[in-house]
Amino acid sequence: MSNEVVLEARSLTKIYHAPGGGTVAALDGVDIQVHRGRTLGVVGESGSGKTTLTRQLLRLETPTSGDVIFEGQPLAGLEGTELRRYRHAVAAVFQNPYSSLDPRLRIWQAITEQQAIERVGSRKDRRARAAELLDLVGLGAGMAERYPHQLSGGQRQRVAVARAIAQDPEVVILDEPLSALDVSVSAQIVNLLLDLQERLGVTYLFVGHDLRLVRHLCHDVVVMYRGRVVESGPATEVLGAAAHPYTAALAGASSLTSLEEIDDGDTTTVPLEGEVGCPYRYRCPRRDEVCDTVTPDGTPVGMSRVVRCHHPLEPARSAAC
Amino acid sequence: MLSVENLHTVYFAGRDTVPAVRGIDLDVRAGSATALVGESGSGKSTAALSIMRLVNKPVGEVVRGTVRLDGRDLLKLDAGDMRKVLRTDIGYVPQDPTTALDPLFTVRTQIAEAHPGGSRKEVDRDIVVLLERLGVLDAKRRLRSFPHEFSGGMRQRVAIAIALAKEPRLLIADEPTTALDVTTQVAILRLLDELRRERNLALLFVTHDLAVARLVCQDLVVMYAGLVVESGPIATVMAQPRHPYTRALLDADAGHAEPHTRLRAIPGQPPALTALPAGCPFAPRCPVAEDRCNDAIPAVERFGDVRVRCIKAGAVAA
Repeated sequence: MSNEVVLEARSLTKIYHAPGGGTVAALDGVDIQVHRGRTLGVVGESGSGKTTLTRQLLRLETPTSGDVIFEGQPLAGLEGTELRRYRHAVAAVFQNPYSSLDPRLRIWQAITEQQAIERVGSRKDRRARAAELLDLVGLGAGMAERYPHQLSGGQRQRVAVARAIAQDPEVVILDEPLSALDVSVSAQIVNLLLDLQERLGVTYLFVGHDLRLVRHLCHDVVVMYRGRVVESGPATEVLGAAAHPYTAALAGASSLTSLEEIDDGDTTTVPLEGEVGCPYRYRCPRRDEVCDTVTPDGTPVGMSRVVRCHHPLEPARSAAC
Repeated sequence: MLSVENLHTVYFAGRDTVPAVRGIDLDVRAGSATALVGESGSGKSTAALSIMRLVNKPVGEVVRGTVRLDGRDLLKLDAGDMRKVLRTDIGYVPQDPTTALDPLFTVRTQIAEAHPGGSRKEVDRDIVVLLERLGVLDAKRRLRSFPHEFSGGMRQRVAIAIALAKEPRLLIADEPTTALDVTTQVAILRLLDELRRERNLALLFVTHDLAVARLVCQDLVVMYAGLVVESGPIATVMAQPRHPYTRALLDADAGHAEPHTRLRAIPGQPPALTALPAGCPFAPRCPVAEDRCNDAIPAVERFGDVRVRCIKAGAVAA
């Protein structure tokens, strides 16, 4: 397994201006590292900043501060050809396969749309390429001439995956690609993603809220809460023996093993710019004065884990020994 | 309490009638929860709506069957009596709390609409007690709030409050936690479970997630392509699934698999309701199907409390 970092976010911060004044720190000093050929999971609930993070990584928005670094090169100064090279290197598959495909394009056109815009190869070449990709994602070339409305949700998501890999990307950002699919179909797409990673060596960044799937697909994981990374490390360790109380609450709720009293998960507050203290303190059973006044720094747990908590949970300490 | 027999519902699409529910049986006992599980297009939501007689022309129609609530067949009631049943006996919690609430009215107005009545003061007091019971903090002050001022989880609590304000005996919840975060999901599930016990509610819980169903329900009804393929006590069915579809659903869950290994996916996809096969609808995807599975829809076989529509159900090793 490679240790080379292909995509990285350093102190990534994104401030939005709320209507009626006030500023919201949707991302507040987020660091992530995506290793080549591996899968990094990003988990957290709505409002945690997952989607804001992918928008910065895809360069759909410019971060307020901090930077995204691809193969050692910061994106901040990139323009023209170099920025275009980056856009080829990082592709995306989105959550809803019903809205992510243009209803007017045939499947082969949708898959090779970017190549057509850039006038890569002839029409015939692009058709051939689409047929090859359809075969790779298990759809068969017979689908090429159809329109999206003739396909099921699972088939559309396969098309979205084919379109993402059409440009030979280094990294594919998967933004909740399984959430809109039925249980029996979701497992098919999981297997497809695993196959493609094995065959093409592609790197994934998987954004998801179903921890059962995250644990299955991801080698590493970062847990986000209100715009900050609260815990990161190898997926089985972090999700199996959480050090941060929020990770523990999330893992407990996702295991669906009991209805016991747990963190009930409702916050209506948004993270404000320059806010001091632990972002999780309002819901945390371990809160004390220091959590209100000092923002926790990243503390190493064992060899490869980091937790941002003043009072991390015990199992992780013993697991780290 | 609720007993559905041989219910058939169709939708109209142009000149065609599309069968969505094809003769289902299900029961919900007082103080007990039944899970109605299936994938999109299986007919589970249509079944729930049909029980409330909410599938009507020109969209579709309940073709035949009986829906007995405390022995009374709801399908035979006149419109006025049916409205009364919906107003007093059946509460409904929809999947998406954002669209279930009217953005133009305060939370108080919307809950009071469902309340049986009384002086303004009494109604307000009841609503505050109900909302506090549902975990809405500072309920008194929030009565005058509008839906957009609540988070998703809080909106779903308000939707549940609307369903419960009439003190119904049957609560139908259609994927009430699918749109919510996992931590909020468990909180809402716990709440439904407590309410069922406290109020002796009959709960019909519609979901696509067997793991969620197991947490809150005692009985399970699995639907596929408009048919109930397996039903029975949830612990029994999940421990020993007899229908290949139930077994495949349980196997496909990533929770049981070793990380990075291939999941046991079900090949293919459910049949379109416009092109249903003559035989068992699962046969084209079924690992143990034989030619004769395509001849006719299998009859229901009983194994103790479990009922299965599969000609090979008896072959399952005990």
